[in-house]
Amino acid sequence: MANDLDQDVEWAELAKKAQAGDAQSYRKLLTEIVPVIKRTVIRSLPSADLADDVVQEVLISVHKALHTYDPARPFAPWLMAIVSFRKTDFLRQHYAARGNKQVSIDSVDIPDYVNNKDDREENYKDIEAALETLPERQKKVVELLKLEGYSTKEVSQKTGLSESAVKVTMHRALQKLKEKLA
Amino acid sequence: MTEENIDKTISNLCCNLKPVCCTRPLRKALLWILMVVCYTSAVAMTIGLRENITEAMNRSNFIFELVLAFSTGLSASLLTFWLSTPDCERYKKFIAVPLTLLAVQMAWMLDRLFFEGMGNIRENWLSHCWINTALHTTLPAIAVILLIRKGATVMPCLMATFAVISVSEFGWIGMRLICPKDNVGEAYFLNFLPYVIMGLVAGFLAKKLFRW
Repeated sequence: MANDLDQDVEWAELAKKAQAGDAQSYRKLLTEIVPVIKRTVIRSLPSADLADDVVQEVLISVHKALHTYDPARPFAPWLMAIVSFRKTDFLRQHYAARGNKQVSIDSVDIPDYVNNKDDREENYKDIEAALETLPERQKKVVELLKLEGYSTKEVSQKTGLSESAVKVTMHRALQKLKEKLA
Repeated sequence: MTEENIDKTISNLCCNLKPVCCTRPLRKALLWILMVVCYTSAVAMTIGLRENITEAMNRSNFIFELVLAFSTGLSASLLTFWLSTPDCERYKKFIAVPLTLLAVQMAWMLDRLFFEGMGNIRENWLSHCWINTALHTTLPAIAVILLIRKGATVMPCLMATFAVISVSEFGWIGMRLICPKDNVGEAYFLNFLPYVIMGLVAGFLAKKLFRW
């Protein structure tokens, strides 16, 4: 408690000097308040990564509003009012821009097989090998329907099979692939 | 954004540091009130005081309305300027003063409306009342916006509300000095309507207008 009071008195003194144009005091003040701002905002932010953005905004706001600080008054309430205002402002913009729905590409949980090229190629090789074992007609239907993306009707026209025959052939091919890849 | 960026920001801010004068909201508020009182009186004198001003000044109701409006305007002005600084939390308890006075004014209006009715409203109210209202309020409104924009409010909407109340009250006093009709229809509804519209617009624009 006594420490907080001492710190506030020191900050008030530094802010007074900063108002007079003392850059060194100003630097000291800004450096000292950064951890306090960070500690205050980090609790109410959806992600700790955003804290530095808010800290920067608060520092700029402190700079803009320095003339509104009354040196006869404690410094902390003045600072905390700005912190709270900027934090609310930031959160409002963050949610308005649906920032809470976006995730950093670094934090996306990507399965290993996507990143591991060898595993990926191994999986593809297995599928390709299993496809090779299918009868020619079934292989053709799987390729057209599942790999090239044609509709059942289009596959029927291309292969000369009826639509129901295409569906039955596809079903049987998938059964065989399932057995081979199991 | 990293620690490095924060250090860079601090360095930039320190480089851009210039000596600043500490803002005194009370001083600004008193300056604005003085300016508005002088301006309202000057406009009233220029347009011409109402012909029945002597008779009106002898009516206690009229004096009560003027004093009530002046007190509301005065307290709302002080609060507007106090709210223009970030460290305004300590003034929040003062909010009750202008709001109570405004509530008394509204109650007084409703009381008069109940017992006296709306009264006659002149046909040329747009060219008379609204033009004079605009004359009374445009300059004080611009002045208050410019003065409070120099601050750094953390409560833009509340501050805009009290700014509108203060401009309205002083403008309304001006209107009472030049408009000979004191019936509820003119004195309250017609003369207050532009302020209500102004207040709605200010409410929507407050955040943009007082962004810093």
